[in-house]
Parts: sequence; structure tokens; C-alpha cells
Amino acid sequence: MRAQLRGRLVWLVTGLMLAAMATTLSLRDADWMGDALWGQETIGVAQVLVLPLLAGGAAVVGWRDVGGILTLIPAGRQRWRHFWATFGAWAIPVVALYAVGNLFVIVASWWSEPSIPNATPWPAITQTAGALLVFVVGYALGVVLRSWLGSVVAALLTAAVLILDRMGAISTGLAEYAASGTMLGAVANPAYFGMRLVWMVFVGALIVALLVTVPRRRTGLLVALGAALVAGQLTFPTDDSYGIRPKRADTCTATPVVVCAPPEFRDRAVRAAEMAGQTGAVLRALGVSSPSRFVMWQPGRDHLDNLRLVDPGTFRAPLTLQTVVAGVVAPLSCGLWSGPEPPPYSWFYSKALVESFVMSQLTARITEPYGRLLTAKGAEQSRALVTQAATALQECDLAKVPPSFSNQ
Amino acid sequence: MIRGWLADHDWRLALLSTGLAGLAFVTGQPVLASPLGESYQGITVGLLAMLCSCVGFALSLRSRAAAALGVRSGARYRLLWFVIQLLLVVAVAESVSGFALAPRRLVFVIGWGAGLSGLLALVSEGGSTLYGFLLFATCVLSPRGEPARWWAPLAHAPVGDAGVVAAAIVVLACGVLYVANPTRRAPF
Repeated sequence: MRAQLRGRLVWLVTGLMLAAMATTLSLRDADWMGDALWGQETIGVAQVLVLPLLAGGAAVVGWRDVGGILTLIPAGRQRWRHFWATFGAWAIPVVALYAVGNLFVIVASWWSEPSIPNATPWPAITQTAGALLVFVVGYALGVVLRSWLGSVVAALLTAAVLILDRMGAISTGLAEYAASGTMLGAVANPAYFGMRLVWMVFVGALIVALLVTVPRRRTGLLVALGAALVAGQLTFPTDDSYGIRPKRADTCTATPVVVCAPPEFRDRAVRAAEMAGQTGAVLRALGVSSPSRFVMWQPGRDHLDNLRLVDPGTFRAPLTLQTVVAGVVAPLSCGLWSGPEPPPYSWFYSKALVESFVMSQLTARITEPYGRLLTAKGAEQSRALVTQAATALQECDLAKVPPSFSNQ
Repeated sequence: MIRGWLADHDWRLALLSTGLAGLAFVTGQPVLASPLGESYQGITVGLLAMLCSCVGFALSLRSRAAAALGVRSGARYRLLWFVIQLLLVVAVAESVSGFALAPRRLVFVIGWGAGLSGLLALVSEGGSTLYGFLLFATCVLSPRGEPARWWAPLAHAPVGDAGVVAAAIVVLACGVLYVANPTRRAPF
């Protein structure tokens, strides 16, 4: 094992794997930071780049071995010992790579604001197991193909399997969930992760057994391998890695406007309550009442009056006045927002108009589309139209939208 | 030379890349798959054409035809071979972009795509294979809706001159190394 660790290939491949992982994590200004589970699943995104590279490297090792030391040990215990040493030499940096990657996203998220403690060991375990399985598959392809071409075949095969798995064309259990947005409210499903882990260990063990046994004993193993691949196809047709279950009880801010959110978002909830209070005051000046109780947006809460205290696409983006205003002027408990048919354009225009009116009042800067309406209709008529639109939005009544908005 | 070329891998890649380039020219750039998910760039026909073309260019410099030229012919023939292969990549790049590729982007693509993989192929076939993989990786690693970064040469639109000049130097170095120092090693 020490001799293998002194070789250049293992460090070249794992170095490139680290570079691919680091690049994937750094894209879009590391928008996962603060949401550790999203960071862990961003490592899963890098699988399509990292694993073909590992498979290619493993195939080169297999190709070298089959033309070298394996000619001296055709089968049996020595072959097993040699494979184990090779596997161990590659497993050390690969396991370290995934451990460091996962620890990095957890620590980086810990120091970020906001930060949610949603990290779980499951993605790290299955990512590592997937990488080790890919090493075994790549090594086996190198042994079977007995050529440098094995590295290309192994890399292409791994990439194709992962791409097709993510597209849903096949299901192998190898591809990770690979989140592209916040994992707020998501809880790992241990049964699903556990099944994937067992499947990967089983398939890997069968391939290793095929490599170390004599040809006459391989038929049964090949049948078992085929059965395992079919079982994978049947067991993992849908990705059930996560479920939506809010883990922590909300804490609420004090009146007049109450915003309830998990404790990690307490500061944002307080600021949002203040902004919602200012928005409510502007609406009250128009003679329109607005809700006085909101919850923080989380998956599964779309039908409640909620405020987006975090951007689901950029977790650590600062809370903006506009986001809060948008949540207050158009309460999301209104069924029109979540109905089977989208509301007409005039409904969206009403929201944009009231939002821009409130923003103009709060920031002392005229914003669109209120500015255009003000120019076209004058102050008094514009105010009347904004009041009608605000009433329609608060009462969730499409009939109260000014008829002239249909032509906007 | 022709027989050597036909007996080798690279003509198939050249044929595939020109076919894909024609397809990209006719159909636009439909996304075939998004390996990293919907929020990242997907694999398009044009991207596949460029990848095949760049790898084909690198292989052509190590092909049996190239080896035969290295043994029997003079530098002029090797230069001709190099220019023909390079023009093939240029033709693919142009068709993929609907014959509207800006000159600096063309030089950048040719230099860092074909030129560097060719240069690596002349020095180390393992390095060239690895670079081919990295080319693929860098293409799909760009977030959707954002301009591709400098390290994604097949999709990047350079703003400054430094990268373009360096790309031109890489192509020249590849050409000089191939023409002046023909390989006598066994081809792939």
C-alpha cells in the first residue's frame, strides 16, 4: 500500500477531484453557504465530474496490474491481498477528500449568517461509498479491457450512468440528490440512504469477488451482479433521499406585526417584522388593512401568509425591504396564488403596482410601475387605483381589481 | 498518408465532429442533457462537436498518418497536415456558431481547446486524455445564465487580449513542435 501511495497517479487524480469539487462549491459565490446540507449536496453535484476521473484513474491501475503483477497471481488469496492493498491506497485519499469536503461546508456554513444546523452524515457516507464503488468498477474495466482505452471507457461509462440516472432514464442508486437550491426544512430519509449504501457495498463486493476468483466460479457471481443491477433499477426509481419536515419549532416576534421563524432566523424575523409594520402603516394610510401575523417561508408553507426571510437560491443574500413588502401587500394565503390556473395579468400588475407604491413611500424614490401611472393619471387618481388594487389583493378578490388594469 | 489516416481512430472523430457541427448548424443548440443539474450548462450538440474536434485534432498529430509523415516526408508535408487538421477544427467551430464566431473567441477556442490538447498529445498521451476530460468538465461546470469563465475555453468569450495571445502562442508552439520535431514513437 505504501508503494502505491508513493505513486503519482493517485495524488494527481485525487488532486483533480479536489479541484473539481472546490470549483463546484465556489460557483455562484458559494450560494449554499449557511445551508450546510445544500453544501453537502453541492458536493453531490460535482459527482459527474469527480467520479469519471476516479474511474479513469482506477482503470489505468487495473490495466497496469493485469499486464504486471496479476500475471503472477492468477487467482486466490494473494490476488485478494493485492487488490485490498491497491484499494486501500486509493481509499485513503478518496475518503479524506470527501471528509474534508463535507467538513468544510459544515464549518463554512457555521460561520455564515444566517446558518441552519441541518448537516447530516448520510450524504457524506453515500458519496464516499459511491466513489469507492466507482474505483472498483474502473479497476475491473481496466483489468477486463487490458488497454489504456479502459480509462476512457470507464470514465465515459461512469459519466453516462450518472447523467442518465439524474435524467431518470435509469436508476442505479449511485447518483446523489444534487440540490440546486436551499435544503431548508429537508430531512434525510435514513432508510433510502441505507438501502443505497447496502446496494453499493453489495455490487462492489461482487465485482471484487469476480476479480479475485478463477474463471469457472464466475458464472454465479455474474448472475448475482446482474440481479443486483436489476434490483437497483427497481429499488431506486424515484429519489426519496429527503422529506420535508420542519424540525425546529418557530419562535415569534412581539406585536404589532408578528413574524414566526425558526430560532436561527430570529434576527431576520425581527427586522422583517419592523419592515412589515412600516408596510402595514402605508397600507393603513390608504384605508386598507393587512395581516399582522406571518410565518417564515419554508417548503410546505406556501399556502400561509409568509415572508421570504431567506432567498432559496442564494442562502446568505441579505434580507431586503422589497421582499418583505412583496409578502405583505399580496398575502400568500390567497388561493389565487396557488390555484390550478394562474391568475390573469391584471392580478400580477396590481401586485407590482401596490409594491412599487409602498416602496416609493418608504424610500422616498418613485419606482415603476407606480411612476408611470402617476405620470399618466395624476396623484389623486393614481392613489385611488392603488387603493383599489391593494384592497383586491388583501381581500383576495379578483373582481375588485380596477378594470383598466387589463389593458396595462 | 490517406490510408494511414483512414486506418486510424482520428478520421472517425473528424467525421463525427463535422456531422455534429452540421447538425448544430441546422438545429441550433438543443440541450441533450444537463449532467450537473438544471442550474448548470447542459451538453449541446455544438459542444460535443467541439470536444470531438479538439480530441480528434490531438489524435491526428499522433496518428499513423502523422507518424508516417514524420518518417518519410519533409517538414512541408507535416505543415500541410497540421494546417488541414487545424482548418477542420476552425470549420467545426464556425459551423457550431452559425459562421458568426468573433475572431478573438475563435483564436481562444482553437488555442486552448485544440492547440493545448495537441501540444499535450505530442508530449504525453495520458496528459492529452486527461485534458480532453477536463475540457468536457469545464464546459458543463458553468452556471446557466452566467457567461462562461476563462477556464471553460470552449464556451468562454474573452474580453482581454492576454488569453487570446497566449492561445495563439499555444497553437504556434504545437505547430512548431509537430513540424520541427516529428514524433517517431508508436502512435496511440
